[in-house]
Amino acid sequence: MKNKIRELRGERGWSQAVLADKLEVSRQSVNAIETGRYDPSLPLAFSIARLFGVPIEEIFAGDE
Amino acid sequence: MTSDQAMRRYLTVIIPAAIAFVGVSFVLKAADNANVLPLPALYAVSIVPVGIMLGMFWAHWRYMGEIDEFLRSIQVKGAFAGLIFVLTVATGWGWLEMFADAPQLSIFWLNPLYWIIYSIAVMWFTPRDGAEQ
Repeated sequence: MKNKIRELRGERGWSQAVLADKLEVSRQSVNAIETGRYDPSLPLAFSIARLFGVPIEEIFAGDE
Repeated sequence: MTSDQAMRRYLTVIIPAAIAFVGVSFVLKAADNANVLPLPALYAVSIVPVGIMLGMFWAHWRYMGEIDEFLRSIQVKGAFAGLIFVLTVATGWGWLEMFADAPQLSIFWLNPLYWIIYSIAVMWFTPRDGAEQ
């Protein structure tokens, strides 16, 4: 699944480690989600949306 | 708890437990070879490595609950690979033993085999799924 996490993180000047800390996950998880290798669970996706203050559908896009 | 803290907690249990399991297994084998323990005592003492083994699985269970969902997915794949291998070997060789007079394998080795295959699978899935970068 494509997402805009890297872009949103860059706008805020956060490193992957900083974002991982804020989300209480590992840096590897942030990297895997950003690169599209791992699709987060719904609770984690909502946490990401809440953290960036944007609707979830603006961050994640389906593959269709 | 961070994933690093969870890993440290896991290793502080799993490494001593693995060493203890191997050590106790050798002691039991030596005791059996030397006929120093009667059969009922050997049965009773065999509970020790079984207890250690259950401790290892408990530590792994706890570790999987403490890490985040992405790292957990890698652990689940590793554990599943170990399970598939062990069940396939046990069933496949079991058929050969029953119907083709294949030499009997000790089921003792299924536990070490599980951990070996689990470890190899986790080492393979970790870079493949992007957990190393």
